[in-house]
Amino acid sequence: MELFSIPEYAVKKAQRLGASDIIVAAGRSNSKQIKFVDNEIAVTKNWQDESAGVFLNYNKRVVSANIKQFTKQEVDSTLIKLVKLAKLLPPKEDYFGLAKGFSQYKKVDGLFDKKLVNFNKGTDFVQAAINAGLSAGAKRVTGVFDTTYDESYVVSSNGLNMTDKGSGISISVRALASKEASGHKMIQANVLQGFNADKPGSEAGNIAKKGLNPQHIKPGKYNILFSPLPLADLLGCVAGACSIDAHESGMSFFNKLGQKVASPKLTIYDWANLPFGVDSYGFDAEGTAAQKTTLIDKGAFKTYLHNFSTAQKYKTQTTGNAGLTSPSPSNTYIVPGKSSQKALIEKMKKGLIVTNTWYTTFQNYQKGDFSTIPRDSIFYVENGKIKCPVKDIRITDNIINILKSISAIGKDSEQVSSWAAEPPSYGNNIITPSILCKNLNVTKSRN
Amino acid sequence: MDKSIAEFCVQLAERLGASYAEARLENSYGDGYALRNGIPEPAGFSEDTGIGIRVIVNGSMAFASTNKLDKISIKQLVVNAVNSAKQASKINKNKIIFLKEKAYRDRFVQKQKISFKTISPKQKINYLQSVDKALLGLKSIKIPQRIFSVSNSVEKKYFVNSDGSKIYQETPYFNFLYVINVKEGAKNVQDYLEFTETKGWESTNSIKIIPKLIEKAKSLQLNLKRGVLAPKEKVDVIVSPTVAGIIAHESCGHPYEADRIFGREAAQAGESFVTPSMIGTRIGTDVVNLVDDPTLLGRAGSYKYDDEGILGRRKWLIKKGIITEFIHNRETAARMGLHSNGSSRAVAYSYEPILRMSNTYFMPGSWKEDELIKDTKKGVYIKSFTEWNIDDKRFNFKSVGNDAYMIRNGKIAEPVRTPAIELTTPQIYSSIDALTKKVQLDAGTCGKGEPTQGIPVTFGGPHFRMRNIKLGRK
Repeated sequence: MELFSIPEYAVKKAQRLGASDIIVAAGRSNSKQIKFVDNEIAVTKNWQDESAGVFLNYNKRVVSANIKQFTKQEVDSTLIKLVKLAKLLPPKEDYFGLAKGFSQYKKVDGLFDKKLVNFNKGTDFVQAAINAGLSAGAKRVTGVFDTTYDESYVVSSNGLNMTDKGSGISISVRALASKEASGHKMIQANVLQGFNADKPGSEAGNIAKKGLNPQHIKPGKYNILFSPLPLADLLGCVAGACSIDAHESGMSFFNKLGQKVASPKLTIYDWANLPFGVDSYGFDAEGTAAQKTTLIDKGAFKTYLHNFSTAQKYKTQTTGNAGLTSPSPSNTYIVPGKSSQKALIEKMKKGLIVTNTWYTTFQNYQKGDFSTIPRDSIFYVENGKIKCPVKDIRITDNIINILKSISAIGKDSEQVSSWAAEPPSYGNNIITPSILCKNLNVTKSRN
Repeated sequence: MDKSIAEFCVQLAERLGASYAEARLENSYGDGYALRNGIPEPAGFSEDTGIGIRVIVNGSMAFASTNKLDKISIKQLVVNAVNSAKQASKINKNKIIFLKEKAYRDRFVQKQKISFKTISPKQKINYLQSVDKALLGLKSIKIPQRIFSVSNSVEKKYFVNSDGSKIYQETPYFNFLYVINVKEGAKNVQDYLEFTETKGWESTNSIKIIPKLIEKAKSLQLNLKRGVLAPKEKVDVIVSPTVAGIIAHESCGHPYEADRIFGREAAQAGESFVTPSMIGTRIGTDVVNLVDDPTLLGRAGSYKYDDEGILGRRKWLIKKGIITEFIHNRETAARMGLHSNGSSRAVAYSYEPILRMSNTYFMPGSWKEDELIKDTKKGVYIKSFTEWNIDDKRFNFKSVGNDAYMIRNGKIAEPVRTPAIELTTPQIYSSIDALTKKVQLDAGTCGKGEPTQGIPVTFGGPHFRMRNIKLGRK
């Protein structure tokens, strides 16, 4: 059976078996990666995959499965087994159905580039990044370069019938000037045009060089200017906490609509139909058209992210964020401010510039108490000027406190995502400027 | 599984010029169920079959995977991988070397006493409902959020390489996960833990989840009601096997991974404060012994052969306080002139095998638990943790206690609220003066690689005491 003939066939077959709210998606992808370490290629990788997935409801029993062998017999057997499984389950009383789908949606620009379908010039980009990093002062340049191409076909019992294509290109560069001085930059996009690996290589090398000979500082309260990359981690958690799923699971620090959760300077959108957005789409997994949703408006929490079913439960509208089983964020877009980097540093007067963080874990998701570890070069600022690089610190604070402490937002903007996203973050795409926060708590190893 | 596909890949890669080639043909099947606040979440099952290959050509490495197992697709996959490695070799100055290792021909099936197949979906959901019911039965404790999931899978793997190894392994995985949120007035505390074993459904008996959760809910409520801040002054700290485990994993297992030491994971997962020349140097007190051991039966991190076809064995990472051995795969071992100690793992056929921990734990000491408490005049006993992290060189560690108690004059006293251990790695290991006899391991999922591979591991140890520690108070 041809892969893309499965969705229509399987929806009809599942209907005949008594199921409703059926979604069947089929897709194929070809992805490539070059991992480079110490200025050389450590390994090249290639993934070729074909898959199909089924979601269905049987009298409020909600089940899903994948189909990996594309024969009529295998599709039939999977559907029969799935309906049989559904019949054995207790009902999901808070399930309220599937959105109406269509066969046409407004196209989102910049999601597919045919030049990335069989892209084989990755080593050129990798060499450019390595050379730029070394020229900027790094001794070792390491990172990953990825390209991907995928096509999909999805059909639902509620009218969704669409094919789609997507592509992606990204490079993450970590440059090291010494064991303790490093810089990390990443760029990601859907199209080749404008993608330049020199820039992150050079910027990472530059951060690394400036980070040589880091000093110790005392723990305490510091103003902190976050570059975009560390915000991928922190704001990824903010976006994840907006999912109604996180709220119902006790994993969200946003507890009430309308609540003041941030500085009035902060406005955040979940922007699913953002042109050229890495996590953009024309329609969500159940067929609702993608939209721009205001999550935080001038500091006030406006809405959770919903699919059709959760929206019905809470008597509101879907935000077009359906995944196959629960709502999740798309692109998280932070509205830029007006401050230049120089102005942000001058405004900070005394504090730290954090260029990256990692290992963000929460003590209590509902309260938002957490800590994260700045990594790569950190800079100490005095009298509005960078004084020296510093090391071995941890930010131990509360996420709501951080959002409320925002005192200025940069006019820069980068499209970034976090490598090792931990809940409530989904590791989604974040488009963010640099952000300055006041008086955050910095701790260190003691004894 | 058509094993000839894997053999074909290796033979073709060799014909095309690979000095080393391996193939992993895998099939996995599993199903999963979840209950959130008493309501069933979508349930389902999944099956995946595919192949992952790795080649070394002219000293450069390529990995490729597919689930399209027809001969044309497979042939193209191998050709592409070999060409890709050749292209990389034109840029690379250094060559990847694998030393010749022993070839194995074996079949190893980790048996299930109670097969997953014999347990119906209804029984699996009933299991979760029984856990939920037990917690709801604690009338005096409010637990508004209760998430439980159970899943099981069987992984069948056929490995073949150009050294002559042909190994079939079959491993069952049982996983249970909980998240609970205990409330007391306006205050709340959250707790989550996972239980993974390479066993069948009999794991539901061995993990004893209901009594553990009831005890945990009671102690968390007590902490909310009566918890005090940790002392400001330095005190002795006794940690449970659970806290010992996260210390072992983060500040010993990870920094002793030789790929971090050589910088291969610098891009994302980070490096290590440890250097190759630190073998034989002191990191802790004489009583500290720490191993990584995949040969334990039935544990989350257990296996017989790794994903490079090497027989797994126990590694003594620290012996009597001295750094003794690193965790190696074939690439890192050769860089130190050694043979691999069998630590290369991939979560599925579609992932590159990389260097991973297995079951990492402190070896037991000679004390009894009550003796250790009795011997401590003023201290804090930390039974479980919540927030934790460590920097990417594995030097600055933190964990925050979720369930902790004061020790006063050799007796457990009032609960302590969120005491934070925030210490460097050498500070931790050089402060340990006593370990108890009984070792306990917890399961976890360890992340590393690009894309991230969450691999099942365990970590643990006995209770141990650290002397003169200043605790954080938030």
